[in-house]
Amino acid sequence: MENKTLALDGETVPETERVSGKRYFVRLNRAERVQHMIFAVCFMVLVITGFMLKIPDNFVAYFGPAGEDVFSYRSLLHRTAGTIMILVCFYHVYYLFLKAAGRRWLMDMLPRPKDLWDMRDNFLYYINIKKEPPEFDRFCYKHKIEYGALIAGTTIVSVTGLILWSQSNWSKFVVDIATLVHGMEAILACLAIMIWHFYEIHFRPHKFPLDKTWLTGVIDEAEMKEEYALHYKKIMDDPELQKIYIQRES
Amino acid sequence: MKKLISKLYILGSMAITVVLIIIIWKVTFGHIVEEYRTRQMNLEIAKLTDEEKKKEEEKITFQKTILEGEERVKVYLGYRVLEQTRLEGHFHHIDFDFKPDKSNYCIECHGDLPHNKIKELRAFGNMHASFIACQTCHVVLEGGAKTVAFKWYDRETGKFVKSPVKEGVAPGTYSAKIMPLERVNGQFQRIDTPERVEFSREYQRNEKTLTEIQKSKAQSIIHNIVSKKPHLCESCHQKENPVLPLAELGYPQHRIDTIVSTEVIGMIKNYTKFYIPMMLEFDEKSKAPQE
Amino acid sequence: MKLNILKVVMACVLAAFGGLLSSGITFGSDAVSDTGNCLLCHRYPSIGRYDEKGIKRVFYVNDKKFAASVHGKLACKNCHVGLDKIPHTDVKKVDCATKCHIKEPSTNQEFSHANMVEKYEASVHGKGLAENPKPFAEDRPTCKYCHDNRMYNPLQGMWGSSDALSNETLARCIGCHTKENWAQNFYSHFTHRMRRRRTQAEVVKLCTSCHENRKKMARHGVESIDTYKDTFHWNLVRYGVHNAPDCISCHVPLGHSTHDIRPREDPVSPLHIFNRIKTCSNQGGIQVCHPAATAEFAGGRVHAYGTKAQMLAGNKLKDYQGIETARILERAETDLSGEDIFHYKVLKLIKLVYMLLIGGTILFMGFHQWLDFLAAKRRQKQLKGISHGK
Repeated sequence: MENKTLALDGETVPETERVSGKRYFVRLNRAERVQHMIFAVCFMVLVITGFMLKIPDNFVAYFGPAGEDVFSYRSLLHRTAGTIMILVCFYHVYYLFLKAAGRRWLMDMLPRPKDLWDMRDNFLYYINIKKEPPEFDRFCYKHKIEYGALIAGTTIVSVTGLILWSQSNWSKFVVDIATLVHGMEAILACLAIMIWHFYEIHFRPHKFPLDKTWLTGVIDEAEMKEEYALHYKKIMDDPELQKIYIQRES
Repeated sequence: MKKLISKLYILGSMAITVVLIIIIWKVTFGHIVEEYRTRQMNLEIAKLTDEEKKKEEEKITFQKTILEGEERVKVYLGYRVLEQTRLEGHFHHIDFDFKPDKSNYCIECHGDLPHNKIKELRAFGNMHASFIACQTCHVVLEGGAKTVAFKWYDRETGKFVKSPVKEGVAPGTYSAKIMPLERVNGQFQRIDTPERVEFSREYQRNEKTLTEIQKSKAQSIIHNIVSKKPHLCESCHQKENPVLPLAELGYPQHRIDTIVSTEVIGMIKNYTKFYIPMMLEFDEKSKAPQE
Repeated sequence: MKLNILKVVMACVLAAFGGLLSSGITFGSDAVSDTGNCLLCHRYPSIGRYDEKGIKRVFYVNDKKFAASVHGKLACKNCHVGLDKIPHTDVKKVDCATKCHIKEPSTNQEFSHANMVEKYEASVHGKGLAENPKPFAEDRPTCKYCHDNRMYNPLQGMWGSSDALSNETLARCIGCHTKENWAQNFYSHFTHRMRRRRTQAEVVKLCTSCHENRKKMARHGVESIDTYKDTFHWNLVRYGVHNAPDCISCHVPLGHSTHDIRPREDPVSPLHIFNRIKTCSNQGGIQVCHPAATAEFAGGRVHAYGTKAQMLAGNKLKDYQGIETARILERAETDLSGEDIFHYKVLKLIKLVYMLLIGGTILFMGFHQWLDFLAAKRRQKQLKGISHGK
């Protein structure tokens, strides 16, 4: 098997005609990367401008007379970033249903019973009872949990945010609940990002300091075999999938 | 360049993460303990009697009265900010920082407004304390030591200066005080000689370690120049033989007239109903009062 | 950017102007006409004493500052009544309701603050009327607690924005009213009301100086108002936004007087349920807050759910039973309706759910990622071992 390589169209090519360069596997295509980038930037802005309301009083005093301007820019940024995020979410829904790549994403992201077994097996692997990690498909249970949290969190925060933006129309009770939920859900989302996601992309030993997939969209073959072994096998067996998921370094 | 950006990005993210975690902790869980404590505090407070509820404020603790008592307060008047010491319930703005007298060793123990006991005299005594040194009144020089020499010394440096009255400084804003000179061995010298000052300061430095007897001894020595009976008001506010040589101290004639006028002398003598007429103005336009 | 530079330049000009004016030029009046020659003694800053409680009593009067204040035209004896003897053993405590011998031009009668004092004594902060004094009158704020002798701002226009406007206006006034001093004084007098005396943050500081003092409030059965600092309104105030809602904005809106604050149940009060929409929308004034406020929105409680809510919702009433001085008990039961308590409970429940979620999330995620880290390290070693073993 080592002597033969698979060309893009799926035919086996003899070694002498092998195209040079490493093989990379696509994790995020262009549209997905753009969505992620916009969403990430918006998230950062929202978190910072949002939590500016919760900093202690003596820190606010450092702003001095510029405090008023700071506050008005903060409000503007927060609402702008929120609007952009909501629009990206709408685009994402459109993408999921009306684009082929999006439909593939949706199908792969749906939770399956396999994920439960994978979670159990992975835990057993972590505590060294199993010697080999389970074989993951394109999206493992970690990604699905994170995606689910994203959907839920963004929805809740956006809806309560819009309620707060249009305060005067609601009863005070609703506004109170919206305030509380908006803040608490934001905290939950922050924690999910900081503890879960940032670990995944910054602190995994082989990824430190930064996993570049969000910019390039690809991972190399070794990592593919290690992390997403099942998906790798599926790709190798199916020429159609190869067209989608393999990129060559030129 | 890319490395720098990525390093900055990582550091920035770490900093933000730490800040956020602190805030999140406070918002989510931090308040539980606080709320519990507040509930307990409310219950405790409710159990106090009404008098106890009030008493807390009036308790005289060292912390509150002395250490925090020097609180400066900012009075925002829109176009400027007056910063002055906080005075409870005071209505008139002061905006005048009374520079303390650093060179008079009496004040180091007795404070800048020492008179307190005699109702009729205390405010007046303190009033004069801003431009007359303690020794001028409380050291009645006798016999050979007695001189009629007095000089102005600067409040901060202690050195002799020109008379602020002569310089035209407005009354109440002098930065100098009057101090007597004594004659020792034919020489004029300041009454706060370096030896006396040093003795007093040495006492202050060692006060904590002295025994009661030592303290009494030292205090007697320090106070041995203090006369039993100080100069009272009439000693200076009289026409015949005032203690202070006002003219030499730089007072112009109209001010001397005011100081030794009938009204002031009368006020001192009588402490009964009186009226100070407009004639007692302290500028050039005033005329001398009629006898 | 341009706007910022303009602001900086304006600020410098104002500062320079303010510096000039504050350098001792008594603005708007001559030094106070001291007919009693009180200043003979009271011009010395050291006139005063430390009393038995260690409080510094200062009798010094800075006549330049006084002359530039709103009371600058008054002689000493007009307020300090009874100055016949020295020492002033006969002098009475200054009573703001005294008639101060200045003829008020609109009625041509002697001016006095008596009508305000009367209104004030009948309000929540007052000592109560003579027939019906309120308990613990000594806790109530006196006039001096809030009113310091305000000084006239020199030629600053409305809301402190421009002295150029004042200069031009004043020049026209002086065209006919040729006595410049008088014209400046008159102008200062009526324009000084066009500026806030205190910023919002200072107002909050002033009000909370009593209203956050738990012991004082407990004496009167009022709960401490620290829940205001949890609201968005306080966020605006602490950042210094210029029309931020402070205590006065809601409790003394347009058309009401600070001396006439009534309890919420009084139909005159801006916080009475019938007046709420008007208060929240706050039309007609400089601050426009919630112009589209509906009745449901305005009917809620802004800074709410303090001690009383906690007591009722947490069934802690029994702890306070039997304590005579727990006056807050009486108010707790009438102030909060069943609906309010229900709302409070719902909010607490949501908070609890989220706390559990967040706690659980942190634990689960942290644990998971920590294990992953260990496993990854192990895997690295394993793979290295295999490749080295090759």
